[in-house]
Amino acid sequence: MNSIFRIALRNVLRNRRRSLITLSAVFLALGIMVGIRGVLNGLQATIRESVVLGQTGALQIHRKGFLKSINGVPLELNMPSDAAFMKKITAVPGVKAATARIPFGGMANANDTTDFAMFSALDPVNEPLVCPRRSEGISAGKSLTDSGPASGILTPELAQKIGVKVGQKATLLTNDKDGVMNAADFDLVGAYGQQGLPTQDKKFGFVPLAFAQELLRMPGRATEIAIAVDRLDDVERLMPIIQAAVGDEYEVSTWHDVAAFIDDIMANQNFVLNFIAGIFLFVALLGIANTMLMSVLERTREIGTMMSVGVRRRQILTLFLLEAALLGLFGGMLGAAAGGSFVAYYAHKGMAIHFAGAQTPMHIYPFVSAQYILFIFALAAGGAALAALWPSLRASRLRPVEALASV
Amino acid sequence: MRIFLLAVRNLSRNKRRTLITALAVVFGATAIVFLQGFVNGFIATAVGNTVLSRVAPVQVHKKGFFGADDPLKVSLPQDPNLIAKIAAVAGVTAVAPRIQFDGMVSNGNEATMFMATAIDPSVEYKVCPKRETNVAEGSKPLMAGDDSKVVIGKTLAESLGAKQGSTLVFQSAGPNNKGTNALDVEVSGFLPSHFVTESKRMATVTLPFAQDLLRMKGTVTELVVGVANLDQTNDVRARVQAALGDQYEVTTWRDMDVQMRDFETRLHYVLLFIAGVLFLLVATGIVNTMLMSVYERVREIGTMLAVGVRRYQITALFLWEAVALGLFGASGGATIGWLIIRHLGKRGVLLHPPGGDPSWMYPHIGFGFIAIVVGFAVVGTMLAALYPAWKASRLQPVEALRAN
Repeated sequence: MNSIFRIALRNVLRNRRRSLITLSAVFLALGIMVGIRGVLNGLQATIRESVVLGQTGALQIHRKGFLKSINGVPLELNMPSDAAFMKKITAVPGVKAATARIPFGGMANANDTTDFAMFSALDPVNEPLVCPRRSEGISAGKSLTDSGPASGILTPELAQKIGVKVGQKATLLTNDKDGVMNAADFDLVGAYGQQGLPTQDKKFGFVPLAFAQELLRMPGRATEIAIAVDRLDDVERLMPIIQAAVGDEYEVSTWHDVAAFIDDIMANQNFVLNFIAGIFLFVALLGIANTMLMSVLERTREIGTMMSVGVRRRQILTLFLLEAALLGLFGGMLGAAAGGSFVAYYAHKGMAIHFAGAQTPMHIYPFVSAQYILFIFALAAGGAALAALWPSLRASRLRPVEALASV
Repeated sequence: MRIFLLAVRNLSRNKRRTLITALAVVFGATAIVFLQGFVNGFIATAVGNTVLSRVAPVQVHKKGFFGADDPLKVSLPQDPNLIAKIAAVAGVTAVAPRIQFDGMVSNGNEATMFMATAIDPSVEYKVCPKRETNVAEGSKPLMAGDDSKVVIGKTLAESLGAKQGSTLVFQSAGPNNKGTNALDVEVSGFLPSHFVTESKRMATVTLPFAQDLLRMKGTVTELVVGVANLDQTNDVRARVQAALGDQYEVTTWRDMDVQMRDFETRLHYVLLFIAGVLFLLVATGIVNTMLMSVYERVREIGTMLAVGVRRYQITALFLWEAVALGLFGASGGATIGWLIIRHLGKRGVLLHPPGGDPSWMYPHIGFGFIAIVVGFAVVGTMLAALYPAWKASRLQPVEALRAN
């Protein structure tokens, strides 16, 4: 076996130029596969992070039925937000933090101008522990954590519409859960502009949880609890444990459920990538098939000689398959090295992608897993051997007498 | 011509090798034509889902509308003369008035934001024909006179538990600092959820309803313009702008839907990149085959040189072989790709956008593109064969004849 391997290696090196040209095709295809995979990995990780660490949290708890009408943000489906209840959740091993929220609809008013908007009441202490990236969206002013009990953050569109600037006062009006109107003044402390991904909602705002609880006349209650976990891969495992801890009247969901479209987008991207990579690989492997076929035709007499000195047909087959696999492997290694360096360079430097409609570019950090690189090697070597199967079979079935007689 | 025939005969001499190399060209051409056809269909569907059902090809706003503190304050009069002036521009098929506004919709217990478009059903569907059909299965679009009815995003309706015939309350703040106003409205239909972020906010009402709610009698925020040919949108925009003067801002759907425009250019670049890589991959195959061909035929080349064939003719012979390979391979591949696309175009492909309702897509391809693919393949194979052909022509007759 060892000697066949050495002969195969020497045969590959014998016609350097041809091997090099064939290699370059495999190199190109696999280098690009690794490069694109890396960029896509980085993009998907950033999107996932900006959703999980910027908006949803890893898991969420609502009263049963809330999710079905989540856009209607029902206030009557509420739950306790006191320390005892929160403790039940944070006591689960693997849970890092939990924060209570109330999303609600209301009106912002200033200068005799009123406009409708969606609001989210956040716990200024715990929210940054669950969604640390949210504060990155604050484009002017400061966060709720650094502000007084009656403060608010609005999107620039909403602030502009009612004519308030950071530092000025505005009024928040809303119906409480019994439909009775209530109003309270707040200081506009910051502006919030979504980063990275564009959003459909131009008019919304944030206020402290306690402020909203008083305004909505639901002290000590919330409608949503968001949870951060130590390891994001753990969410499926933690879901039933948290569910058991809080009881049946609540429903626990993961970020996969809350932001289902993210999974769909990623699945689509992966499908397209695999499809394109498949086309590249196929064309590169055709090149290997071609090279091996030429090689067999050229070396007919050599094969005849080998057979007449007692080399078995199986060994001839192995020899040619090994030659192809080596070509694939070398190409794969070079490709992985080139693609890997590209990914490593940008992993260090970061890549800015500007999405239309977003205010700031999104920074992504490409990466590839060792498994993917190994998979690429296996694919290149295995694919090359497969592509060479027919030429190799041809070689192994030559008749020694005829092969020796050929030119 | 004789030299071309000779080239073709040379190719058919080693059929198997020619076939494998041609296979790479065929496959490359098939893949490109197929992908382009798919992208065409994809863009057409996406454009149809946005431009012809929502955005409209060309929009007219009062100057200052974009970036205004309150866009509702920068309105246009609903003036028949103005509409007639736009309708008279060459390439314009129809003009429809609209108001874009937002507010709060409630079912009594729950309330959430909506983003609504107020339309005049008697002309709107001439500008955005797909709006008339782009309603969820089993529901009807708004018709003239449906002044207390709403067609609402399916996700939004589900959230509020609204069924066909349910009553909802629309609240909105008009442009005149008179505070807010609220009106009851009956759900008459649903918008499909092509994009979940849209479906959870979108609503369509009639113009009289919105003018009543917003207290904007006789004014609108935009006039949308239909064009005879979508490819000429930019020309029509320029002509409408010239006809109206600079008090108005005339835009196209590319300005209004930057994400759509972005998507279009991005797809274009992705495809160009794929084509480039495929081109290189196929080229390496060609270089290899031609080099092989030169080495095999060293004696033959020596003979040709010895009997007086000129070096440039040797180069030409090999180049012609490459041209024939590229021409046949690419034509074959493009034909296969074209047949696949034509089949899919007739049958349609069901797309499942993330989080939305599926929609049909019809891939299509123009002959211009096929010609470009074949042209590029021929030029590409010729470029790839340049080095082998040059090598062949540099051989010394004496040495070449002695080679085995």
